[in-house]
Amino acid sequence: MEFRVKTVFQCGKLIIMKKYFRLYGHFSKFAVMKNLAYPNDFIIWSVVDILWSVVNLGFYRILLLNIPVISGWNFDQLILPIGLIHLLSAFIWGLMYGNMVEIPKDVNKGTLDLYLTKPVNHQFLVSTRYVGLNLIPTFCIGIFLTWYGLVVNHVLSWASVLLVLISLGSAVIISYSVWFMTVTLAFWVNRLQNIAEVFPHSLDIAKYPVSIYPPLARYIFIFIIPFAFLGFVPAEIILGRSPLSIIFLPILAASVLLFLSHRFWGFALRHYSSASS
Amino acid sequence: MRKYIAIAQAEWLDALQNREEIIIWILIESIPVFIMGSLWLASQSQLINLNLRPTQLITYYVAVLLVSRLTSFYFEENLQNQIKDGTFSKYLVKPISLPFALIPQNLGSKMFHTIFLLLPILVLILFGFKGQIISPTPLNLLFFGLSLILAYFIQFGLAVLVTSAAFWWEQAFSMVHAKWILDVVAGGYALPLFLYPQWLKVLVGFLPFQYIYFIPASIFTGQYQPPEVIPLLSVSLMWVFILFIICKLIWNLGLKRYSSVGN
Repeated sequence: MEFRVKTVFQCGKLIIMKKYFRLYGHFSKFAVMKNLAYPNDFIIWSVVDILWSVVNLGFYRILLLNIPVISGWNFDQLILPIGLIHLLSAFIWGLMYGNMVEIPKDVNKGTLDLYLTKPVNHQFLVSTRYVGLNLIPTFCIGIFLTWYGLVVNHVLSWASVLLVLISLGSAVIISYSVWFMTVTLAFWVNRLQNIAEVFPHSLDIAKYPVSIYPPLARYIFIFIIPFAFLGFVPAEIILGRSPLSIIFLPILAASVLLFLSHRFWGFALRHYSSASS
Repeated sequence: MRKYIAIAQAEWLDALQNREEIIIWILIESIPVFIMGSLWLASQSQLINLNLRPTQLITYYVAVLLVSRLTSFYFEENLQNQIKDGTFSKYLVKPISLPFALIPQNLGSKMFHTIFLLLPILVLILFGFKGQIISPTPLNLLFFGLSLILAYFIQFGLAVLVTSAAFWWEQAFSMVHAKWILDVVAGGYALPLFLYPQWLKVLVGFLPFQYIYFIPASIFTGQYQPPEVIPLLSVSLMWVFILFIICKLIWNLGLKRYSSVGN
């Protein structure tokens, strides 16, 4: 009997999971259709995007021509964390940004009601409704850079690829959770419509090894807002500079932060008082 | 004249309306200076080989921040969209001459942002990098002021050019990005041009962008002796004239092409 209850429960969970995947599939399909309506926009956006990536890489090249080592990282070694951050930024600007900027507006206008009344997890719904496809080139460049970073440092192996996937996954979750929590603050600071801009604009902090920062900031970027876990700590592990066991830190940080973001959202909703019509 | 003062006032009030958001912008705009400042301080030992001190570089980024806050325009995307959807027509029936009315409009919000955004950021940076920032000599400050005024008009010219692309091209938003990219690459916005390899330095020398950021910021940090400054400012002035002529031409051609959708 107990066994059957458990299976039914597990099946239920699976069905729920499937429902969310299907929902996300629909959102993506909608995005594709929207992009197909303006194919020229999509092409030009891709070109702009590639140019920005080239500029970004050129910046590091020129920087490293002048100072050959940034806190123990030379240009070849830097390519790996840059590649990882590049992959992450495709998620941040492509899949998250469009959703995050809408949340404070919805809270302010009271249109959040539309999402709260749907029979789906609200946090899921407000975080996934817009899917941006413009960042596909960034993603491809990120893959290329990461691959090149692995090759040039002679660490290309299945184990490294697995580590890249794990660290990218945790970096995406860490970024999402921290960002979502800052956006959730909009329930209290209603007038700060631009609060969603803070996180993506501070992402530049993650583009350098955390050891360049002053001690207090270093502490914050490891333990409170873990920018260090987004690119450089995983890269250190892949390059064999840190022990493999360190990989549990980003995973732990991701789980804790995701849980906190969920609890914080629930707490904030209790403060939400819509707008009267 | 009175109508232009009214435009500036309206913009000031508009900026005042969103005053709370300033707190966030202060935070966001201080971050790049904080990052680059930390980077240069951490790389101090390697800078000796380049005959540079971190103070020079940190001051450079502070100066770039000053320049970009004091000379930037933000109307491009907005106006492009209005040209595309036809709401642009509302300006044509008003008794103002358009590209130039954007200057008082810009000055209104600029005044507000200088007092409530730029000053707090400067205080924050001066406090954060205490003793790491060179204060310019009065003469350099005077030259810096002059180069800023010229940079302001160069920025204006480029912004008008970028905007007028919308008269011809549906995807004109990409021109806004192209300008931003050139700001970074050719202007010295992200790295001072003296760190560039020689060939790139020569290449970007043909463009007006370095007269927006690199030249004023270098004057601020005392990179140039007074006799060197005068020719640089003359070239800058030349760019202002060139852009003025091109803008007038392109804008008028664009207006002829413009046709709005009526209802």
